[in-house]
Amino acid sequence: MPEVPEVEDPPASIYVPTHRESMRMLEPVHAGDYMVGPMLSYPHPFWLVDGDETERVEPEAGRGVHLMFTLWDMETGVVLPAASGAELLVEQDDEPIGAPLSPWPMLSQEMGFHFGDNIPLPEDGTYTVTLDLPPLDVELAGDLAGTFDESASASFTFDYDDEFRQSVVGGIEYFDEELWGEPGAIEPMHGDDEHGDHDHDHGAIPYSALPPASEYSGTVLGTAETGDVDVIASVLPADSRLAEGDGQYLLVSPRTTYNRVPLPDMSLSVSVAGSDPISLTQRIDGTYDHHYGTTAAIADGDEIAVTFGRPPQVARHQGYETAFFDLDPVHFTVS
Amino acid sequence: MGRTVAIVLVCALALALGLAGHPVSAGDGSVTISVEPETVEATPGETVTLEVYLNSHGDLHGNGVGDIDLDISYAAPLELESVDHDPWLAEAEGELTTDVAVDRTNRTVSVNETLDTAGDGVRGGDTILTLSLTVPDDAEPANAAVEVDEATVVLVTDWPQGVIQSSATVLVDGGIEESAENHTPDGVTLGEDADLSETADDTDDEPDDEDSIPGPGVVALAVALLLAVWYRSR
Repeated sequence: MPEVPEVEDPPASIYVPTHRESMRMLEPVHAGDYMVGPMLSYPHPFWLVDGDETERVEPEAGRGVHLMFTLWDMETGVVLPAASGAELLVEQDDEPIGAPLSPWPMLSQEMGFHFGDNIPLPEDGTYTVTLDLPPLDVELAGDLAGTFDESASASFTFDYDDEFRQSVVGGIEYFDEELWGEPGAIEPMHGDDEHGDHDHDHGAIPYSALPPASEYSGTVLGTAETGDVDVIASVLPADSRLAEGDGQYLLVSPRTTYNRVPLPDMSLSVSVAGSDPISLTQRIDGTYDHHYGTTAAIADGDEIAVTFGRPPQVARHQGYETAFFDLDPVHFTVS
Repeated sequence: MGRTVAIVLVCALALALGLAGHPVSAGDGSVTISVEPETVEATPGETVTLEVYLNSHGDLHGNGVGDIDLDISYAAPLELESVDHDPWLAEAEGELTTDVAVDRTNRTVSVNETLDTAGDGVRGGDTILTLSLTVPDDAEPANAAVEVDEATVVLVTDWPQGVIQSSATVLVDGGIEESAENHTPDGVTLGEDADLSETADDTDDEPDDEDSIPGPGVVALAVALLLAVWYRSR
């Protein structure tokens, strides 16, 4: 498989990688409440994140694919993280190729939030992938409440041959070297609700861009920036469906600068008007999408400080692997 | 003393071969195909020589190149005087078939090398083509590009390699002044702090930094120096 060039000594931020990847998108399939959008590319390195540490993962073999998929809710279009324990099995002629594996949640400038891994393959041919998805292990709210509470399964096939390899490698776009490592990002491979520019017709695989600030209701406190993360905060009224008990609902939505990619599995806390820190709960809402929130008593004039602990525990593609660590707190004033 | 001199000469040769200023892709692995020198001046009636250089480190598992398809074009007013093909895959074990085709109407030179092998293919960097191009006596000033039109380089694992290519420009009779290009491609958003003031020309001749994978010439030099130290210590 083609090794890809990389930026030497990348900055500790989002940066323009050396190239735009190319991939083959397969026909989306249903899995219970889930929609599954499979994608294939050439095997390439990625970076795992454990705590504050990153670990580079290299492809294991000279033959194989980088298999990816996006999960989303068909009704709302919201892209979903998978519960831990999701498994995929690759087979050829009903014979397993290797052991079942748990795909990594990943962040990519082009593909947004998705799942994937490198899969070694022994030879050319047609392969079948079976994906088993357990119930979703994250709080769901709004139109997503009560959904994804059962296991589901889907399967799809793909061809591994010269035509596939030529198409994905031939589609790589290398940028001028002067752009490599500069602050910036590749734009999503396709728009939020648009078809991608790919080589076959199919229903669109959505990109996981979070809503812009203008689409949040309540008292939007503004957008703060910290380390290539844009943080939107809004206070929803006490009668909001998200508020529990006494108080309003403070919604905090961190996303990547440039592409608004969600940042799952972080630890965030807030201090309201000098209170002790309150841990925020990760949620996915049918309207507000992925965010972190809590119910708290909030009054006009209150200062809200958002502090970041654990960075997103999500694997990274090139251009994101050095970003979102050691984020400085951000502050809002309720007005 | 004689042996030490011989080893020093090996060092010098390795230096000459390996550090001849050929660009190596940052981070390594994909194939770079460059037409060199990047810029050359030529007056009407003059013949210039350009080389097409191919550099590939294969993949992480030691698999090298087994197949090359390359189309080079040369723009008017250049005329092709001669082509010298030095098979890039010649050193590998296995049966090699090659083909070179010249199309003077379309101003292209096509090269194919196919290696039938059970081995690991070829990795490294070397010249694959040498082109002699002549400027007609009545040529007007021009910037004539010599570039890679299409290239497919496939490893012995059947995976093609991503191609990073760089072209050359022959400045005929001083050339023509061109306006500066916008370097930001479609589909890339740059941050406010992006600094593109360093051009590609500024980076072409810079040495690899310590994080890049060294080219074969650098490795040969290191081995030769170690031999010299080891031998003198005996």
